[in-house]
Amino acid sequence: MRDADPDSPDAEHAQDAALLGAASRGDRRASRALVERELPRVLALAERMTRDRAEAQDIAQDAFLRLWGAAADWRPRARIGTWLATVTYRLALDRLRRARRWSDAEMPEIADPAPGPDAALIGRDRARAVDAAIRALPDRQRAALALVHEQGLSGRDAAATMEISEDALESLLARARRRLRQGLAGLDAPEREKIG
Amino acid sequence: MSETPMNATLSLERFAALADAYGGDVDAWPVGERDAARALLDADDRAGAILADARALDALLREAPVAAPDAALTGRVLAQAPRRVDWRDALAELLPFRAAWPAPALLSAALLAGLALGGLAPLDEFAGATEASVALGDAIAFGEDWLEETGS
Repeated sequence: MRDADPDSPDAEHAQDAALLGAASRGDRRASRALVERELPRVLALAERMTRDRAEAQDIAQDAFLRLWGAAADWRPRARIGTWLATVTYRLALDRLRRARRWSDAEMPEIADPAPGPDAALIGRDRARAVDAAIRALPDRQRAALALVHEQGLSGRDAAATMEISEDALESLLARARRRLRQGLAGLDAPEREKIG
Repeated sequence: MSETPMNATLSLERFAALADAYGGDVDAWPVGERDAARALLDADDRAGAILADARALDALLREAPVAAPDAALTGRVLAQAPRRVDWRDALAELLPFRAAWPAPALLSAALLAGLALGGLAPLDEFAGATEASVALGDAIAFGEDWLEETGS
């Protein structure tokens, strides 16, 4: 889903259209292949947005219901994954706004952050620490990070999904990553040593 | 923070801003700035250090656990997928006592069910109904109207 040359045909778009067309005609193998490929990502985005497992499952189911509804008239103008990410994002945002659980406000950058997790954390504890730091991000930063870094949307597609400019998206991403870098300062040193 | 025009050289400041936002994979950066970024990487060791730093954070973020769908959710999603609809099965479901019906009424019901199932009305991209369920819904509505009219 990275930006491709807009002037060349996208074979992946055509493959997606064929798969979805087959699913729309009741081909169970095609619908199963789509679900196996896309449901994990849809659920992950919904959970990253809502931070609620049960709600994320409802949203994921709703997103697929809309995909099945669009299947018969699908045109190869977008990847299914990108389309689903956009639908999931908007379903989640709508639900969160109605429940007043979404804020567009930005938190000030942390001048003197509290100590991050212990560098000695390993395995599941380490993963939980990373997850907790992402969950603690301001809503729009968390959404931008999820769309680009977890869902793999291009900056252009993520900005379109969030209905913001690409500059605004870059700003959200940079702030999110800075906040995470500060919050996880103790953890990233081993990784830096591996790469450096 | 505006995108560098394609084919222009990239400043180290802009390179750092892109790494800050998009991480350490240049293929994930805006398409119009990738070539210039790669050129800077070849020319300036500081760009390499910036990228290594970004990749370290990328690797850390990939450690976050990802929610996996359970079998129940997968089953519910698949159950909503479009199914092949045979008009004979649909008619059987609509009209379980059709053996007692007059032949003209049966023929009319079959004809209308077939027309409904064969029709391919375009759907709004965000419509919840599948093509088959819209057609079947039309057939069901016909059946309900007929039953009401006949007092059955």
